[in-house]
Amino acid sequence: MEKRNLYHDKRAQWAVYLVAFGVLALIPVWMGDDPFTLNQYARYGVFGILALSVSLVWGFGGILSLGQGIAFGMAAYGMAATMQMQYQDPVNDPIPSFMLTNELTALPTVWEPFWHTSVGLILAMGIPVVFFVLFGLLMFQARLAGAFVAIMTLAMLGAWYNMAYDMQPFTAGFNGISPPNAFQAFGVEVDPYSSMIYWVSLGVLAALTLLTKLLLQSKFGTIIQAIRDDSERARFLGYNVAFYQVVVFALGGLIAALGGMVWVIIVQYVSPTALEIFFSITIVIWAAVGGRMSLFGAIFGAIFINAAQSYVGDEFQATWFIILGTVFIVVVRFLPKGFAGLFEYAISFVPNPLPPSRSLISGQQK
Amino acid sequence: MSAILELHGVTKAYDAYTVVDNFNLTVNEGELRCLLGPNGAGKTTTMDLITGRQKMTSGKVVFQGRKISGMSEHRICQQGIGRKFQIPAVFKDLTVQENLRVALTRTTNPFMNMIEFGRGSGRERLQQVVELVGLQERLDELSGNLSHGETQWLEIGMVLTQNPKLLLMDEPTAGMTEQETQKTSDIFNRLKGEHTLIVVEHDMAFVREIADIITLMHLGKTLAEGPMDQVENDPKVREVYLGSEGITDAA
Repeated sequence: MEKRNLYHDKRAQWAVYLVAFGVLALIPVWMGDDPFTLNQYARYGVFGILALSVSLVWGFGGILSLGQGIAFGMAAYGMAATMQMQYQDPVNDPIPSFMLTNELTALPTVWEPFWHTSVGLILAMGIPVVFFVLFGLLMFQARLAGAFVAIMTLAMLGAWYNMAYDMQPFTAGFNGISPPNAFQAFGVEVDPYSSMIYWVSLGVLAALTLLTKLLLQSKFGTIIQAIRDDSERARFLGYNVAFYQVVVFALGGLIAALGGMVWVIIVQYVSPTALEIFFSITIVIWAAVGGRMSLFGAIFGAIFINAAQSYVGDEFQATWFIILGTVFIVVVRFLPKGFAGLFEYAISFVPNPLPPSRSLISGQQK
Repeated sequence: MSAILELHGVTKAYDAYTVVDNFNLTVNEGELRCLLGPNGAGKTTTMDLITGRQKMTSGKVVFQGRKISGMSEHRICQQGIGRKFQIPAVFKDLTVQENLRVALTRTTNPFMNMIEFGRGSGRERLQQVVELVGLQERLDELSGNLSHGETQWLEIGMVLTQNPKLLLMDEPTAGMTEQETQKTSDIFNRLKGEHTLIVVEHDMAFVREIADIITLMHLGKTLAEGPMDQVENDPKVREVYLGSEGITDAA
């Protein structure tokens, strides 16, 4: 199978990405502004962000992380704390009510920085990344790979879930934190039931997708795929494989963290469910069904499955997970590259109308 | 000619079994050295010890006057030692072109490589290598679709792209047809002088074609060393290989 077809043409890919995001951006204009629909679509954007992170880390980096929820959840708690403190008053009402019911008499030190929105945002984004760097070092220095990474990330996710659940005075435990007001930044209120929330979500998704696409086209992108194919070979070409894997893993964490932050702006709520094991595995299923080796495929998978769950799932509430599991098995067995692979196959019959791009090595291309 | 690689008393032992036993080797710059020996003689293990893939029990390896034993694999590689594996290892889901670009290690820093989009840099080097290994027509093929011989050449090409001072080639003609072997020995004869090579090989016709000096290993030790004729006629070698046929049949 020749690799050079329209599917692999980078110019065609960029065109599709830009057109797709352009069309998606117009949805509120066409569909009117039904607030609940827009809120729903904004949530799909976050699911797309999560699938994007899995596509980068697993599809291209070869690291099967079942712990993307760690970054998502940590950032979600950070964002919720930031929004909660936007509501609190430093003088009259400095302590969130759930803390008072848990008999705290002062604001815990770890909550103090969240008085400042900018500091809160930096922490919400930065702490998961720092954690992923450390956790990645731990795993990849020891040359863990494959199922071992999957198990480690899963176990770590479980630990964080329990922590969020048990540290009730700090996290409100099972009930979770629900900041009373919408998020405010630069004097603007981001109404979670408006066109604005949709554009925020889509904007973050689009920006992250295009940046990731650019990253994958750099030499770094080729190297991480090389490491995925044969880490030993890459090592004997002089690459510090663990270093690369830590960077990919941390970037995946950063993307998931940004997803977590947007999520809390949309739903104004966070609870340990963000750290549930089942949720993180579901993200991997979205990416696998859509196509983990294609950023767009993974995002499509996330949106497709969630839309199906909303519109079909209502009627098949009890059997939804059986349906999802069946789809997953069928895809893994018959479409290892997911829907994107099917598309790749279909488009291989279409001749590439674009002139051949300049080869990076020699000028003697047909 | 000055020594580029020296092995001093290199030993690798697993419990009671010693694979490489107090092995000494000196390779001069520009030389093509063949490492011969029956299965289990410790040839591949020696390569692993030089490149840091396995940790030696005792002894040291000196490359260009610098002790490299104990460094991590990628650090040793960065000193200028390239390696081709016994079982050809290429990046199967990448195209031939992408494989070679990964091998072109101008910088190994991940962050520097994020802003490297490969416009022009290193073109000549890649061009040279592609012509040398003869994969001009296959640049856009997924390397997983290459024939066995082409895969071997691609890996040789990748090691050459790195432009290492010392190349370690573990059975570069394994599984090749006679024609392919001939082409490979042409490639190697062109590399001689410019690069220093250590080649592990079983194919005696191939060794005759390319080798300057042969080091014959047996049970982890040097049994004989010298030009082909001399090694072949060494009584010790004949003894080990049981009699009159010489090493040709045994190898």
